[in-house]
Amino acid sequence: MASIDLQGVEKRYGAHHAVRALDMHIEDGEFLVLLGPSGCGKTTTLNMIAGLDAPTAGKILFDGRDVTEISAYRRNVAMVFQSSLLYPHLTARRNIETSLRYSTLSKVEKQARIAETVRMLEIEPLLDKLPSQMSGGQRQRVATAKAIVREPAAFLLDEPLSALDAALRLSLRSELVNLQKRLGTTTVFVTHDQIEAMTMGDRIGVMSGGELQQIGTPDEIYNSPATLFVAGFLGSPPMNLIEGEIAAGLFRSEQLSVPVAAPPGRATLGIRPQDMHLVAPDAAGALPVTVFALEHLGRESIVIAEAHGGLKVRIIVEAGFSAHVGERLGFAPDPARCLLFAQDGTRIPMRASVLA
Amino acid sequence: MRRNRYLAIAVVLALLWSLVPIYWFCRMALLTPLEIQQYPWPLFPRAPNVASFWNIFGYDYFLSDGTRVPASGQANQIIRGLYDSIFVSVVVTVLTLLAVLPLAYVFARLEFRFKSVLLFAILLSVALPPVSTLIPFYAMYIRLGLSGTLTGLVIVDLTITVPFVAWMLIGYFRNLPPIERLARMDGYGRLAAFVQLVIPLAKSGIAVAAVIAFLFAWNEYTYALVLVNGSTANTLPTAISGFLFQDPQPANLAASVVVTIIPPALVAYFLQRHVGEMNLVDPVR
Amino acid sequence: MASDRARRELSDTQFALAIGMPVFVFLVIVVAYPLGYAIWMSVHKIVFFGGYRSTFTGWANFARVLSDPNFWWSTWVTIRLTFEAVMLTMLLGLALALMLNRPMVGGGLVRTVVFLPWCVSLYGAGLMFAYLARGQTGLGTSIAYAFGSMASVDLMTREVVIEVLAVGAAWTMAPLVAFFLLANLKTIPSRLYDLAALDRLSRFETFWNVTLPPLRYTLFVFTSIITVLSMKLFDFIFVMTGGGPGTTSATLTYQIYKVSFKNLDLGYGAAMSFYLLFFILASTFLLYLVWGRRETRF
Repeated sequence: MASIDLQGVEKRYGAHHAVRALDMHIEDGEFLVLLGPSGCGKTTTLNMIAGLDAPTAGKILFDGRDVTEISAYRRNVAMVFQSSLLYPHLTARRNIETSLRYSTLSKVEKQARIAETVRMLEIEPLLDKLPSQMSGGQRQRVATAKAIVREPAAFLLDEPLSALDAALRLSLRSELVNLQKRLGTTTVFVTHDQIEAMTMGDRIGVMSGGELQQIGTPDEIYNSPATLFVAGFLGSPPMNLIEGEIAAGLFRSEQLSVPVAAPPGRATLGIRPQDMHLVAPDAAGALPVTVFALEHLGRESIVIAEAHGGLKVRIIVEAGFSAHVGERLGFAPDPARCLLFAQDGTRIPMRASVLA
Repeated sequence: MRRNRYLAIAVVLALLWSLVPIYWFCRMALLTPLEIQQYPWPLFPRAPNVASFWNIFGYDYFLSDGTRVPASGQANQIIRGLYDSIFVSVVVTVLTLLAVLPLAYVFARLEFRFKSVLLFAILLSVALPPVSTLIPFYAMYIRLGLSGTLTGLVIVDLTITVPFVAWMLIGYFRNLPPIERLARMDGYGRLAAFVQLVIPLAKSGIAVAAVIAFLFAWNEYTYALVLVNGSTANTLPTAISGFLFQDPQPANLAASVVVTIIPPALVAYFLQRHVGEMNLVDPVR
Repeated sequence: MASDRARRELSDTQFALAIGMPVFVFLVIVVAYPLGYAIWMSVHKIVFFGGYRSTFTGWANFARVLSDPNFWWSTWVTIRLTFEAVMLTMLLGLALALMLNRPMVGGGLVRTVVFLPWCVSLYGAGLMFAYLARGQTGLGTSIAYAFGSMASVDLMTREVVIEVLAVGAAWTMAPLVAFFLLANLKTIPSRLYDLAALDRLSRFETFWNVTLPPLRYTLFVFTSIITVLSMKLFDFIFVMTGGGPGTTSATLTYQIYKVSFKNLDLGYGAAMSFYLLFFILASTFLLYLVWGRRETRF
């Protein structure tokens, strides 16, 4: 078990910057999720932590010790690759054994470790099967067993669940978290799925374009996103982002006007679907919209409506609500819940409201 | 059911097409000397006999009616040719694999500078007509004293098998899952991962490659004709061409050719299951 | 720490060099060196008899080739044979692949038999087709005899000997094409055929719109490969016809063989072989221009 520090880590492929000047601290025993769209540099970051890719610049430290130049195996990290890669020509047992092939443990100790891991992950019946004879979920378990049997300092996972169906993902998610908490191993988990990130991570690092946008607890990331990108990427249904202009303590976009305490200029207003309410289409300061679709989720419903310029705006309403497509409504945001972002995407650091 | 009938007709035609030329020679080998003097030779031998298979290895054979069919005067060359062919084919196969496995692996799995130029060079050497490389080899061998030696023949065969087999294996290796990363996490060095994990994983593709190299060396004629023909080193095809000019016994010629087809026929069964896994289209990418 | 650093892994390029270098060196020696030597020879006049001598002659050999009527005749023979062999091989390969793709009883045995001709040496195939086509020993004569005719059916004539060669070449090469096309056919999802049935496509339309598109790139690659192989074809011709009757089937490869090893005019033969190499590269490039460029790998 180890804490991991990245100091000014960078990765370039020719002229392409895969990861730019990245600083990150991962606590001992923490479950950190790296979240971002494909090509954002999260897998490259994970590979650098693993020692599979060497950083172009910067340092990587495990427990304060510089490991930048040390090979993957010597860092004593374990990794589960995309779609739970295993050696296709070896049985589950042999796959797990190869993890300990270069270990200095005695034969007896090795066997004891393997037996313990097999018991913990309940993969006894799979041991003599080839990966091609297992289901996706079974392969995932064997890959996990192969990784943790070494009792690694850090446990790295690269989208291990992405190839599985939804129901299986749900159950494996909690299994993995449970396992991580029992073992207490520092874990870095890469995913592009925001729900996976929110439900599994102690903290989430959101990456985009090779840069770390924000790192924090799921609560921080969700409720006070640092950038426009983070605000738009997390949350389902996603946050509504409305471009407009601040002047004289009011954010305006067509008929919409929200009182804010912010310097004048162009800005983007962010408001979550649950933080708006329905009003009459011609209510003062509200956003006039036309109903585009209504999605029933059982506990609640989502109204998707079109505002000026084809902008889609979502609002969560109670389950009994009904409206027909084309109906005109007004959306009024709760000024206390509004977020403001400057044109470069950074957050304008104050509560949007003067009324709060 | 009409479709099934069409399919059956197609299958019969395909089998006939594939087998008639081979049958033609098997039949020739089984004819008696008497039948060979008839015109035309019968389509089906009336008293099939294996005399010529004994003859070409230097034994007389007595037909059921007591006729003696004498051993072929070419028997020594045939036996010698068989040994030499086996020797050359095995050596070429082993050397080809030793050379090609690392080469194909490096091209398929790693990125490095000048890769596309080198890959193009391999493709170019596949396109070279053997006749044009033969001329410099001929001149070189005469001056180096390599003409008429099996060593010389092995080297020339390698100029064909190495590029061609490399080309086949590059596509195959490229489609293997990326287990090298897994191996690095497990502490394997580059070479250990290649030898202990990638090669066992790729064994069916490597077997196909080996068979193709073997077949090529076994079937090679052009180089042998120019470089070793008439010398003591002699492969089976050049030994057989002795029949064309010296032995008036067509049954013996046919029997020798049938003998050369036996190993390919055995590998045909193996190859038809695996050859589709190779991907000749891929390495061009 | 020091030992850790020592164990730092090799980079891709270092490893590629370490493991691939011996082979690169080998390839340079056995491919590039003879090629360079062939270039050297092509600009020299080389005499074997009475002691090895070579005199520099510049482009003389290359110029001589262009005014050699045998060269132009052989070029024409090569073009005719290549065209016919490629067409036959590709059509036959496609037909065999479509047939093998249908489920059938004893499929493994049928596949083995269909694949067998590829394993037979070009040398052996040449002998077989020589005996099959010749009047005295041929299939035609035997069949005519079976029907009561004493006619001798000889196919090794000036008129059709090239066609017979093309058929024989297709016999040995078509199985390879068939097997790669077959591997491609297996990847077509059967749903697409259901869709075609729902859309009431005719059998030909189904073939054209469902079966053919995923094969097109492979067809292009193999047309190129078979073109190269046909132009390189030598031992098959040497054994089967010896360039004959007369010079009817003397392809460029045969002509080069004759010039170099019968007449022992090595410099001239080397020059001629570069024209052949040029034709081979030009024809594949041409194929790429008019066809391959438009095909995408799926």
